[in-house]
Amino acid sequence: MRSEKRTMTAKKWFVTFLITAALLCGCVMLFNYATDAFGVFEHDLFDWPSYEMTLNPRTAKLSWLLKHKDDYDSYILGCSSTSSFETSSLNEAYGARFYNMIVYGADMQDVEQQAKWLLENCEVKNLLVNVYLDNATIYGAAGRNLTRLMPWQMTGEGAFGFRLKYLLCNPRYGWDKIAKSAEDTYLTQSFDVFNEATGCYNKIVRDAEPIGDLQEYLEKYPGFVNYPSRQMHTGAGALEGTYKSLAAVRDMCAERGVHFEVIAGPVYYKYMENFPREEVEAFYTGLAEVSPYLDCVLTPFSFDPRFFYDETHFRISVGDLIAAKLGEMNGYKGTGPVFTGHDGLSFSVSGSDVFEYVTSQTVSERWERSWNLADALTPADGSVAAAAQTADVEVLMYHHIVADEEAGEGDFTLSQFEADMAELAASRCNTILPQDLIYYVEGRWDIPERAVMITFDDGYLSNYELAFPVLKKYGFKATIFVIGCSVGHTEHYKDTAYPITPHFSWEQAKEMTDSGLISIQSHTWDMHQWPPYEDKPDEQVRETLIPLAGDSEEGYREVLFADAAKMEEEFAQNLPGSALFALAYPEGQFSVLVTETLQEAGYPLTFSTLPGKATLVRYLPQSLIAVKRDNAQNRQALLW
Amino acid sequence: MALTSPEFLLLTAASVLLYYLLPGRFQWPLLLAAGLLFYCAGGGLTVLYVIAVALTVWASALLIEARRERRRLISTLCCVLNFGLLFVLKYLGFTLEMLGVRSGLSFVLPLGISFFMFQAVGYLIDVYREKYAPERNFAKFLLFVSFFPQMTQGPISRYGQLAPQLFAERRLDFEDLRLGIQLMMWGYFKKLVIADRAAVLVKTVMNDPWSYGGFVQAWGVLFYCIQLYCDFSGGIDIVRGVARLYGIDMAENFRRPLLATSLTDFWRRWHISLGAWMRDYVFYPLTLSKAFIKLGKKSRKAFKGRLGKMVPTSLATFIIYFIIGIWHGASWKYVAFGFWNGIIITASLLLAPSYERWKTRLRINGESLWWRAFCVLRTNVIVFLGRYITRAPRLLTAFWMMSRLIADPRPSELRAKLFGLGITKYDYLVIVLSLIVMLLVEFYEEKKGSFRELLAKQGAFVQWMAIVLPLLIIMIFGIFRADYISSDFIYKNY
Repeated sequence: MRSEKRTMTAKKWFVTFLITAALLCGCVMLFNYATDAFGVFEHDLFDWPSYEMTLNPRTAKLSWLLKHKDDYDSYILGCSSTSSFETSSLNEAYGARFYNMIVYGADMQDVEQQAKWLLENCEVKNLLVNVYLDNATIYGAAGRNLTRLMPWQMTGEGAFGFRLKYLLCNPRYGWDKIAKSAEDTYLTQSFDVFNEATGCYNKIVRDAEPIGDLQEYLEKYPGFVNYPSRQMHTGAGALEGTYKSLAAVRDMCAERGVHFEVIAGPVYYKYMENFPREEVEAFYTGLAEVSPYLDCVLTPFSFDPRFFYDETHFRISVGDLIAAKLGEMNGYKGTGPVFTGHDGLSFSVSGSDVFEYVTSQTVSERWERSWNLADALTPADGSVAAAAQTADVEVLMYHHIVADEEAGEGDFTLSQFEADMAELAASRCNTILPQDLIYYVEGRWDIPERAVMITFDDGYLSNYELAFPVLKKYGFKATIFVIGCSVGHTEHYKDTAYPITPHFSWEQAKEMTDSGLISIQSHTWDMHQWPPYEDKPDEQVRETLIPLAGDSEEGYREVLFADAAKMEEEFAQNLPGSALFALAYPEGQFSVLVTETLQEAGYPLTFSTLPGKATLVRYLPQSLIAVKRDNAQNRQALLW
Repeated sequence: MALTSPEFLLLTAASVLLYYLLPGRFQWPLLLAAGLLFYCAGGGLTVLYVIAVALTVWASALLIEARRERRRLISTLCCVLNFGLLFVLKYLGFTLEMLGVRSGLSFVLPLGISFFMFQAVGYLIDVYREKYAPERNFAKFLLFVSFFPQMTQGPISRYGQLAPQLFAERRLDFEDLRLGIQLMMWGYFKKLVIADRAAVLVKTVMNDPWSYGGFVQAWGVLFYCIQLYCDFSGGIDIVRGVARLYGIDMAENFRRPLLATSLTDFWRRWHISLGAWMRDYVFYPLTLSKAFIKLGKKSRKAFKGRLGKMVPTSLATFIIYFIIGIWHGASWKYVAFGFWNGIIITASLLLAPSYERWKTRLRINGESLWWRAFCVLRTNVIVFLGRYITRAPRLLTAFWMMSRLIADPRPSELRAKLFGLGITKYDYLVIVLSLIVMLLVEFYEEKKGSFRELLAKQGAFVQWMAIVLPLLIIMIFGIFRADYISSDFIYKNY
């Protein structure tokens, strides 16, 4: 017989409800506390600062500084475009240890709150504020969204109420943090866009992209074309607030003897066009009343999309030039952009001369010139402005050359090569070397008219025996990309019994570089392997630089770094006095991970086999990545 | 302060706790304080409007009692004053615009003004009719006007029903707490899980109806019907639940309107308190007025038979729905909405005998399930078409959208864009499953009676599950919905 069901009294129901609701709430709070997706709870249970900063840079950067503030003594503050001031460049400019406090959507109220906390809680030697045109339109727009809340330490709000919001937030934030941690890799992904140690956006992917021709850039980033024009205005309230907060930061710095500097960051010209000119000028004039500032607003950089990641964020390479100017202004050495790996001559960067320190006396005159510049550089037909200085270079690629009497079908013969050289001479071409490209981009050298680079891949003996005499005859310069491990191998492929097309030796290489006509550069040490001859069963075959299917990003980088180190070592030993800074991708193949890692491995200049003329852009190091080359051995016409 | 905000829950919890801790005589002042706090938190100084409405009505009621011979004048003056205020705040801008005057006038509309004003005026008319003796204590009357759960979106309560409960001294009854919490959970389920989710799709389609074909637009309107019902009735459930926590029983405002068999039936089931208010304070006085009686006599002379008898009733019905229409808002589309309902209901009144004749001729059994299902479907289609009018950005757009249903339906577009209208596959699943649950409960209640009583008879585990599951579902699919920003109650400013 069924026993009578035990039902609940109302009192018992109510108590059960309270306990259940409390338990559920408790679970949510505990989970949110433990996962701490916004970095507000200051514990180390699940620390992932770059993820937390991506969710809310305001809170997570504070958490970071609470633990690491002794690592820094200087700060730069502002909205997201401030991120393009790399701390390494600022450190060099000021001889300091910078942290970049940028938070997305920051207005001057955020900046004032951050500055106040920094000055009261940290050692501060320099405090830089980057002011953007948006500061004339937005002020005090602090969001209620968890991703935009200022931490309680900076607003003076109570800790309990602030933390309660995060304790009771959607557990999906914490859950996503757990899920994404499994997907985290070396390259930047949408969920970890910050470099926690510098505070900057992690732009390694965008900074490793090849850039040259403007049209190609516009095709890749169509946001610059048909840029939406809107009627925008500065707001009286925003202006007042911005000036008030900036003055407060200025005064706080003055009280404590902290060096204070205002930078007015670059604005893309199309965005500027949305505002009436007199309002823009009034905004910056008011700014100069509050503090003199380094004016970078409208310079030639503003008139070329290639200097911008998108319509609002200028590139780090421009930020580096501004940093150089700041260093110069403050009596430090202004070294500007540093490209590692080349022969390291010291020079001053003329590109930073376009930035100007303005005061309330000089501001109107500066703006008169800025508007003149705008009139001169804005295309009348509405097309996209292209103010960057560029130079075109025809880079020719050769491999093995065969003496005419030994030539088989399809071989490239000495007489063909001689004919090419004769054509170059007849066309009055100027042959240049890899360092010339770098010098051009750095701004201290001009590429001559009808510039041609002659390049050879692999390092065949025929380059020495057959091509070198011809080059000498014409006085032509050329570059040979050698496979390091094959140098000097005339009979066998590496340590195998397989026959090989002979490669020249280090001594022969030295003889060529000593002539001043030849630059020896890298085609990798041993990452251009020939699969049929690589019969060691346990080892992976790397025919090109493209990562293999099983490679992790970190693992691949180690392989590439090791290969580069070996090349560097052998190079230093065998070709003393020559600099190694350029590399041609085996088979011309590359990826983002490849270009990014090569930059770190000491190759600011790399060559692809993408056809067409190479376009170099002055002050844009990305134009030295994957430089285009034409295969001269199977061309109908050698030159353009 | 939205009914879904943590602040509202906090205010409710704190006031309920205090309510039962305080001695009985402090209970109603506590409710008053909570009401004013609630209103100030949401509307700031517009609380003065509430006080003004309460004060004029309270004073007029006392005056009516003191000077019965002038009661007509007093009540008329008071109504003119209050409805005048409502007119200025809500309709003046629209009226001037209609007259071609560009005034640029705009007022901060006090939250729920249409609700609390109708409630107050209803009391005045009842005092005028000597249904009740007027309330002497202003604070008590103010509480009647500003009882906080119902302030912003109704229901429109009657003095005789609500006031005695408000002022009674109560002791804690856990049954009230259980019922209150259950009602609130049911309301939050409808509001947060269904309505707020459907709202995303509605917004996507209705913000830019011009870029869609007729089917996608209809899909948007269909989801608007779902949203509106779940949002409004869910809100009312929350209100009734909160009131119940203080032991106060509030009249139902919805009685399963989806199951209505005619448009008249629909309006008896949808927003019941508004319909009842209109019936008692507008329809009856109108039909019993001298003018209407005269009209009746004339029409019976002019038209023979049924039609002649129906003219005054039809006219009054028409007027009622016109008022209900513009009660919703100051815009042509609400005027049209009033006409839409008025025309259909008047027409069905006039044509009722013909329908009956057809039904007999076609040998349709009016009691059969199929006939009832047909009627329900027919009613829902009419309601659905009416929603085009209220939800379209503008009146003309509504007609244009209806025409597109035939002229440019683009059914393939609906298939292609189904998951590109702001909500995901998973959202559809949540909405559909939730609707099934809701409809099953409604069917049960329509046929068998209280679902809650059924639940109370179950064993402890089932009852516990009936706590855990709703809480989990509301939390996961409601509160923590992706990008959770609860859209405010749609009816709040009406």
